[in-house]
Amino acid sequence: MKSAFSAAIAITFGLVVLAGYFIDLSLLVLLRDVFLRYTVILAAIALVVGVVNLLMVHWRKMSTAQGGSSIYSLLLVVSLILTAIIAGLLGPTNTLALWIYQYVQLPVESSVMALLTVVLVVAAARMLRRSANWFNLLFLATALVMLAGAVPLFGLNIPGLHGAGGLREWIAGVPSVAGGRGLLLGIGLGTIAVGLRVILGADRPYGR
Amino acid sequence: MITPGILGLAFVLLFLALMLVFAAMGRRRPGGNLRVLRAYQRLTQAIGIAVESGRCMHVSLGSGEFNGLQAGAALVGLGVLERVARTASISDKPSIATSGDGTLGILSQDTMSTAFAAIGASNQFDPNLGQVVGITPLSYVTGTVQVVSSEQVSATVIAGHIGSEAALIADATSQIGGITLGGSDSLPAQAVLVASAQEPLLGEEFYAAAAYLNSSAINTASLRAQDFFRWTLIVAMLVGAVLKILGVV
Amino acid sequence: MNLESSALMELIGGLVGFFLTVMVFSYILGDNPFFRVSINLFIGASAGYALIVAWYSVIWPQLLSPLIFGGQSERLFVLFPLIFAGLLLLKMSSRLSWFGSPAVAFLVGVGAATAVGGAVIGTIFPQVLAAINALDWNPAGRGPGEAWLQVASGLVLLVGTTSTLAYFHFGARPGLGGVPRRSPWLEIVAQIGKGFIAVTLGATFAGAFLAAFAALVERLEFLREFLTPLIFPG
Repeated sequence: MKSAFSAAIAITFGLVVLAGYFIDLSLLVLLRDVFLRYTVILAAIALVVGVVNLLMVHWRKMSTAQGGSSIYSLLLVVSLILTAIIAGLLGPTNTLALWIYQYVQLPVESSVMALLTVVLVVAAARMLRRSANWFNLLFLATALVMLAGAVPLFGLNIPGLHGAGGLREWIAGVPSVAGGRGLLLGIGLGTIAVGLRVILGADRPYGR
Repeated sequence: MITPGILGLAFVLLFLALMLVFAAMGRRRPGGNLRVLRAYQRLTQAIGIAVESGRCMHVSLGSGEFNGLQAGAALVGLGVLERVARTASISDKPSIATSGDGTLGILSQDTMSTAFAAIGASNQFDPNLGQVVGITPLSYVTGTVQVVSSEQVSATVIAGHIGSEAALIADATSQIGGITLGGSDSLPAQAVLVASAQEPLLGEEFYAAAAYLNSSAINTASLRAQDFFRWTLIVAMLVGAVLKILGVV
Repeated sequence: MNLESSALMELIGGLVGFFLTVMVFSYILGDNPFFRVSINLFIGASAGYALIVAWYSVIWPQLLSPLIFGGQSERLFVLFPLIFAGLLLLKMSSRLSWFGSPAVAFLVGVGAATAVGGAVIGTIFPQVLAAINALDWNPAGRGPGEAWLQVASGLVLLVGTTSTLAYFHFGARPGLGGVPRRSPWLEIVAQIGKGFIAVTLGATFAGAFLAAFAALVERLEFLREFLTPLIFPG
């Protein structure tokens, strides 16, 4: 019974919002916009639930785990609560809140991005060791051409590779766009299918 | 005058009608053939290995919002999670799911709870099996790297919206001897998965998960509807191109 | 904050940033306690900050403020999300969790509709039109030679797009040994499409690498700027 009620809600609101995309009736368009605004509010509430989940998982680790892992969880919980208190009381644009953002979050974010340089090189090498088939070789050859063409090599612009009309520009503008367009169209078709299964009530990720 | 709205409505209604017709046909004559996708065969094997080795499977749902194309990828990921949780829940260590968004976190717990209930193991369900490990994309990835290492996962399935940082999750899984499979709606994630995942799912292959992992009539029917519209779009592009060259449009 | 304390904050910030950067980089040697300390601080701080941003930009101005200070119509407008927000918060309790399902179902239904609507109007129609318009024979301000080049590129784009889309065809018939296979002609088209996919993802991989490399250069520059005055004072 309760699952049928939830399914009815998903189907009804899904249909109304979907109709609002295609049927040019002011009431439907208005309802679509109102429901989309509601989802923004509910997504923010869901974020609160998510943060509480994060806290609870680490709280439990702190109370059950021994040694190192409980210290890591303690650090996470303390930094979360401290940041929330500082940014909450002083406002997210206060100097102290922005200090945390600038000197804790940004350095770690860009360092993690920088780590990707090494991880991607290792991944490409492992891919070749795993399977040097024509798809992987073409994938890697394209990546190397795009990288070589990105900047002058030892200060030299190689004709046919760099600059306007070069190989790099042609790959980026023609075959890469063509493949990307085909991929996007496929993703679009897949998205329609999975979305319609929810609106039909066949897929119910909100529980049965 | 045909507006994009009317054309879109016709497109969606026809898609819906075809799904229902193919599903009805599929119920009468089950067993529609689909081309072999190795990633899904490998996923089934990975679940078996996880159960035997007593290690757990990990489904990474990404950090996308539940909106637009990202919602589509999230729905696929939740379908994969349902299948993995259902079959691997007989293992000593049940599967875990990580997400980087509040809505996704709640949905991962609901999906796992449903999967446990379906096999009559509701009492073994722990809400912490579906964890929100970080709220921003990069904090999600670093949190996931930590979960992968601590839980000693045997396989990671990346199934949702994520960026090129997905490579870090695959790398962490490989460091502990696990394998990575998966796909995404995002092109950067697909690109890094080609290099770092043992079995990447390219583009639309990722969206076929429901049909390959659970061959119910409606799942297979939606793939057949996708195939129908694939060729409709191809014909539309070819005809449109000829008309464009002739200067008609 | 006066100039002195501001300089002190900047110095402490630089130290914190320096150590966090080095700790994250230690992951190159494998997972280790330094890496874990840095990421747990980061995960906590980013979650705390996101929570407060959600409060200041959405929960307070769009839900609570209209409820407390708004007129009757505004209160009526937020009544629905208020009830669903309450139900959603029950998801935190494992015993009362199921009460929250209708709110989650609302999010799923609307999310699925935006996925379908966005895919049709935002992806499929524009991409099909772009594939057709790439074959413009008479682009404004171009000579005949350039028009040929434009059409040739348009044809490659069209072949690439259609063959890539064809690559994904799922239907197959039982072949040798009962293994489902696609027809030979479709397999040829699909392999052409697979080539275009390799090129697209290869180019995207290079883009991802360059973005990561730019971040690496920025971090190394930061470390250099921080260390230089310490090693070579004056």
